[in-house]
Amino acid sequence: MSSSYLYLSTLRDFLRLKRVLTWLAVSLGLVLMGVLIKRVSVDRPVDELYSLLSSTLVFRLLPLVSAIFSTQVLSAEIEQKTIVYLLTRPIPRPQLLLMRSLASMTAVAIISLVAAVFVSASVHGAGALSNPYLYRDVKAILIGAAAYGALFVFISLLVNRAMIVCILIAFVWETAVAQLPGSMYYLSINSYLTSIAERPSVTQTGPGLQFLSGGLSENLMPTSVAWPAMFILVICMSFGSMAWFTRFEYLPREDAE
Amino acid sequence: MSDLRIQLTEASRWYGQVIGLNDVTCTVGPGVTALLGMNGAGKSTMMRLITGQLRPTTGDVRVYGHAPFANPEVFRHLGYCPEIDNFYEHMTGRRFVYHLARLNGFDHAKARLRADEVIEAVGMSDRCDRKIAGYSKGMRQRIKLAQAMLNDPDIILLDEPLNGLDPVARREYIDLLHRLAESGKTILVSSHILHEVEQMTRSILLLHRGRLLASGDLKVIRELLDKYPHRVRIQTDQPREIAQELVALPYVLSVQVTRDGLELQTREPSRFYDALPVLVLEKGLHIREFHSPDNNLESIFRYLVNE
Repeated sequence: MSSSYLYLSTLRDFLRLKRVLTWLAVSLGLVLMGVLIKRVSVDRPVDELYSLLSSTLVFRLLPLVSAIFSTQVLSAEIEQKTIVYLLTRPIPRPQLLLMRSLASMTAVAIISLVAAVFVSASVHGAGALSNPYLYRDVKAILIGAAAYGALFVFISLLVNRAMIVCILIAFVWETAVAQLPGSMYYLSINSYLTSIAERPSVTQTGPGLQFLSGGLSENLMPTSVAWPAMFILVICMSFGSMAWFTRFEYLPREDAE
Repeated sequence: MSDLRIQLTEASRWYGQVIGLNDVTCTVGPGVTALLGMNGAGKSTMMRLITGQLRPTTGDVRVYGHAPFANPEVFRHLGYCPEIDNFYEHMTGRRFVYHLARLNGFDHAKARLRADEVIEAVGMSDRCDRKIAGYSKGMRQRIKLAQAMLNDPDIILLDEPLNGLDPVARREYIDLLHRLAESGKTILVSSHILHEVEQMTRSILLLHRGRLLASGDLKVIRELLDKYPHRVRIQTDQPREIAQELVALPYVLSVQVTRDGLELQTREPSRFYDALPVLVLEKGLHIREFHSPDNNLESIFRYLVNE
């Protein structure tokens, strides 16, 4: 009973109008960027253009939104000290964390999917929803929201000022590591999502755009590796977080210091 | 169920190098018990140990025989009103209480009903549809108490609940605590104000610098205090006339005339306070004000630790 309420009330909180409007504005910004890039890339096939925009915009937005929302699962409650109301309810702690994490992952997935549809619309216009690559991206966004969410929630339990750490991972690590030589790309979630999305390869872009889209590297792992790896990551991180949270002690910052 | 609802056995809690609670052993049963101590005495640490937010570093804490840390079974019997003044400010009072009722496991209909009941019990029915962000301190304290009563708990812990309440609200709040205690609840109230505690209960736990200094009836503490000379300052325009009458009382040890009145020492403050109004009326003396500098927590602690 309280599980479903906990999930829905947290989701409602994450999708409050004020927050949604912010992300809607960001998504509209992506549309604008998409239209501009389309204008300067008139010779590029639309599928390739969508692939470029999706990897450059949507799959950069996904870890960013996840970093912000996942750290809100607990950090916001701790910062506002309202966590005391949650910790003294008759709800098992693993259940509390799991439901709030699932709500955060759902919110991240919804925002990223809206952004993907907007980007598709900027390329395909009214035919945005008939873009076959959009549906491949949907799979990658769903598993990506879960993977990033599980990882960032785990990090937020381990370190103070988790949002800074998570945003650094979302931007720096996820952009750079996948393009390093050797097998380093196995350490980036984005590499797995690129494999799952199965987008057409992008040719002839400027070095900046190519770096942002992850196009500097030719490394691509098989989808048969990417899916199980993402599931294992989600399961391990989620169980790790739940185990850690059952031992978590709430201490107001002034007392801790 | 056992009457010893809360049990601490040699419980200590360290925050790094700092000790928050030091080797405390005590039990708390039905009725109102006050946890009395100055700021930093360890009251909130003890509350957090009992409410399972913290684990003891050494020793043991039990609520109905269970270790409370992260234990949902304990939280079914326990209501907690924290000291913090933090809420989901965007919610109305009703929504806040309903939200926590749902998290307590009530379905929608029961949660609404229960929220309405507890909101009425704390006298917030007419103001509960306003956003918490606009609430006065007193209204916030009442809403906090309402959420603590949601599951009709056997044990209610209130951390500094009277902070910020006006005298009328204090009276109502204390009356409510008495009604809850009469219905068999165990209520543990923390406070750093002695006279506030005296209005609530006679049963106290006295904490000082993390240690349990005394426990039991407040009267015992008072008697302990009475072993020491108790100072009373009287403001009057007739210091010499009043001093002359007071030195005749057998339990008055000394009287000293000061600039705006006089200061005396007595070994039996209760008898003195009974005798003073009679004397004033019989002799037609005029007193502007009187108070005791020893009638506060600091002096109690000073006496008890022999500083």
